[in-house]
Amino acid sequence: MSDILLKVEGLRTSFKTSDGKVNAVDDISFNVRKGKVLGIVGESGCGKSVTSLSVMRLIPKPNGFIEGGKIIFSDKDLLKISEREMRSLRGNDIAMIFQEPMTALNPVFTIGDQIGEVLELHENLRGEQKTEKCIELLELVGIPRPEKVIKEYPHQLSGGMRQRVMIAMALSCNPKLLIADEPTTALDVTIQAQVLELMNKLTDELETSVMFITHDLGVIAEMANDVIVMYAGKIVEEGDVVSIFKNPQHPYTIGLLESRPDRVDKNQRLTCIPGMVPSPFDMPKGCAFAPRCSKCMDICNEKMPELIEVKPGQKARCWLHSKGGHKE
Amino acid sequence: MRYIIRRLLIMIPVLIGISVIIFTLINGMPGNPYSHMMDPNISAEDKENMLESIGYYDSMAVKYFKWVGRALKGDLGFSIRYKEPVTDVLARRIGNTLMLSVFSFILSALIAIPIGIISSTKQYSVFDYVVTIFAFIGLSIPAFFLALLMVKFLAFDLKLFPISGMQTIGRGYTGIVQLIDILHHMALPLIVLTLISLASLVRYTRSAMLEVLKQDYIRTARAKGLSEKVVIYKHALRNAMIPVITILSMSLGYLFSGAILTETVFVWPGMGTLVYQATLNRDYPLVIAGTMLFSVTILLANLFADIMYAVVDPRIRYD
Repeated sequence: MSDILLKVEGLRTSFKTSDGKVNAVDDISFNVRKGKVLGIVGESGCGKSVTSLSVMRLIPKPNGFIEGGKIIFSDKDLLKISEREMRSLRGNDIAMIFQEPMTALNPVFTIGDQIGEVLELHENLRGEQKTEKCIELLELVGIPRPEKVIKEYPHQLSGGMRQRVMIAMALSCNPKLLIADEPTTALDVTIQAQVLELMNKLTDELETSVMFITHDLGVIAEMANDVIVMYAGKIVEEGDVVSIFKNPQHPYTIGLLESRPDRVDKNQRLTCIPGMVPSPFDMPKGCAFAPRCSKCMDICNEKMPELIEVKPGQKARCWLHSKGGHKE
Repeated sequence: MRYIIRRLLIMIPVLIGISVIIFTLINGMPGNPYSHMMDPNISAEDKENMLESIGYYDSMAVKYFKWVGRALKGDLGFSIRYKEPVTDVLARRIGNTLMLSVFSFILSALIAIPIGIISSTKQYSVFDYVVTIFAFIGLSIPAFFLALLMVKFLAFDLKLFPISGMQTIGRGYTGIVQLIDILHHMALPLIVLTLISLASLVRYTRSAMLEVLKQDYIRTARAKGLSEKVVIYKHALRNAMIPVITILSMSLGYLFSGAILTETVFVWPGMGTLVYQATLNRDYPLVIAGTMLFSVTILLANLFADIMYAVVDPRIRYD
């Protein structure tokens, strides 16, 4: 228990829309271990980002709200503390990196202002000290001529540089937990590799736990210790990274692994999972993945299976592995 | 700096174009304005001679160049109606209009921007709905009608303010008393002008803020642990002000032209009524000078808006 930094239990986050309420995240539980990286994988719209924003308590108001569950971070339930306490954690103990480096920085303030703001708020640094620390942080993330960059505006930097600035900002107060929401999706492949390497190195050095959200399994293989696979707001499979890759249990995970482009030889067609993620207004009655599943059985269309332990340390939500699934 | 000089140089051909259009249009109006100035008892022949001598029968081009030549020397002609140089007439009126327009400009900006911000941060709240309803009323009600309503209720029924004019006639107030008297007269036109520009400015501020609050960097600011106050008044406001400042600086151009309808209703002796009357009286020199003055101020205001744009938005560089 003591090696667990973040424990999420039964989290449900919903959005009010003009067509009714939508459960974007539906009863999710997971742990982030101290100093380890938890990867969250899934297609777009499966609730990955909502999960991470829920942990930050930054679900867009007034339409989004957390309906239930517990988010326990260092023995505190983040859903019970005041907004003020939550603010003192954000950017300090829990930091976040976003998907779009192009728009995640405020265009009208200099880089130095934007990093300095965090230092001023949480570390109480002012003036000279603040500037020095800013330069130090920029150096840490490998930005050339940092003394100049702190006076520059975001539009003067490339996407990769901006994402480095975001990382510098996120790590400025040595957070215990770093939430990275598709940090490399918007970057060129070569820059992606550099940024991932940088994140790996820094989080190792600082012993930061990471919640790494991505749809890129290659990135997960490189970064994560533990993996959860999400589909339509639910966890469909979880386990350590080796078991997930070597021995996937859920047909969705298998499908994701098979549709990676690097598996394909020349002249061979790319495999893919047919169909699309179901609309939240039109969820199948049984397993949400059933309509797309190649191993779909009768029961799959009727009842949602439970997430059960298939092997020690590996769980899956599939009738293939549940009792009752093999009845017929 | 280089950019400003270049923009000022570009203004020259634009001004020439504007002056040609204004000059020909106004001189092309039918009717002879000078007939008022002449003794109706002189012979037709003398009349012709006099018109000939002041250049009435010159071609449009010759008239234009004569006018430009004089205008460059600061002589904008002689007002037919007021029987004195146009520059003197304008100088007397411009202060009155500026007093009214500058006050209403400042007041509406000071009131509208905070209301717009609060309205956007509390979107769909009761406050927001009330503001939106009033803004729509303000946008759709014609200025002269609002002015008449004010006159009816505040001036006529409640007798809180004088009905029209700029000073109490025949009292000969001086010093502080005169100032208070003028402010008292100014109140109603000021309220009308402010309410009218308030409405659109509130809407602009609100929509600019709503747009900015959706941006990723606002989420980043929140994720840093900044308080909602800092997020809104530092991170969001600075960005939202970019379009608002542009609109504000462009409306500076209208400070000189005055609001014709409002000035007319309240018989405020400003530029709006002056040029309107001059047009009715075929006081060509005055109309041309007044219209040119409006064009110049609007051009300058546009330039100012572009400069302000670069000042508040670091992404914009003119060079």
